[in-house]
Amino acid sequence: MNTETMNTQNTQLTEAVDTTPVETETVEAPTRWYRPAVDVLERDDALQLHVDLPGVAPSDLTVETHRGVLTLSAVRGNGVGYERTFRVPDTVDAGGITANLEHGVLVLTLPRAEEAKPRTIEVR
Amino acid sequence: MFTPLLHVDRTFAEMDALSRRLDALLGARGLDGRHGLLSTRSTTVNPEITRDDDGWTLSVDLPGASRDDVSLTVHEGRLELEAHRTPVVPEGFEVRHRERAETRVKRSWRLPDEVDLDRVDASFDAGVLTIHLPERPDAGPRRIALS
Repeated sequence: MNTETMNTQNTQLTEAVDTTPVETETVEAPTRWYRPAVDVLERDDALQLHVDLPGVAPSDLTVETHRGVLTLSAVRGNGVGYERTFRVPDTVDAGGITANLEHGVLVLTLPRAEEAKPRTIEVR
Repeated sequence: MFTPLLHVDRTFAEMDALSRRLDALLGARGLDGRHGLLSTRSTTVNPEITRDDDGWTLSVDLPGASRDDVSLTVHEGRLELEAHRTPVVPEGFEVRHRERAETRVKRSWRLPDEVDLDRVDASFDAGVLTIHLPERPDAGPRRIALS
């Protein structure tokens, strides 16, 4: 699988470019698939992905993580679908990922796993 | 998920015909004299124009914009659109990778006589601006009664 790396300071978020088609349960199957634009943001305790998904209703969006791969798949109607896949670093707490879709933008928050957070060690 | 080629050809022909007609109807130039609507690398950059039963529908993608970021006026037979969206960076976050561009739109179109200006309406939902341009009921061919 070819991968494309998005450099972040403390973590590498790798995008899996060569993706396997994802089955969606929506009735109207898209005929045109687009790769949505994504911003990657970082803070000490979390990563965020901001994804442009205009025209997508929350019920037509699927976000899945499986074996360290995060897949988002959305159906817009009019035969348009959006899909993109990311390889999630080990430093992310996969169980704590949250998604919020508002004004056609999906915000995925990927909290950093406890052990991966920077920790200040008190010097005695 | 393959569409038969013949069907694609027909669809393209229909789209071409529609887009030629709408170019003529709407004009292709913006207020700033440039042709493209949005200078963005984002998903969809141009208004999609569809013909419906009683007129035309224009839709413009502005993901991340809110209602307050969009201004639409009909004035002296022109439709004017001003809108912007700025990608939000929440407190404490830094951008590590950017694909979503800041987008500003300022455009106006002369509306064709067939459009019923009083009934133009628009909605903004899920980052999509949808403008409906209804056709005047009397815009079609009219039989003239002979007296």
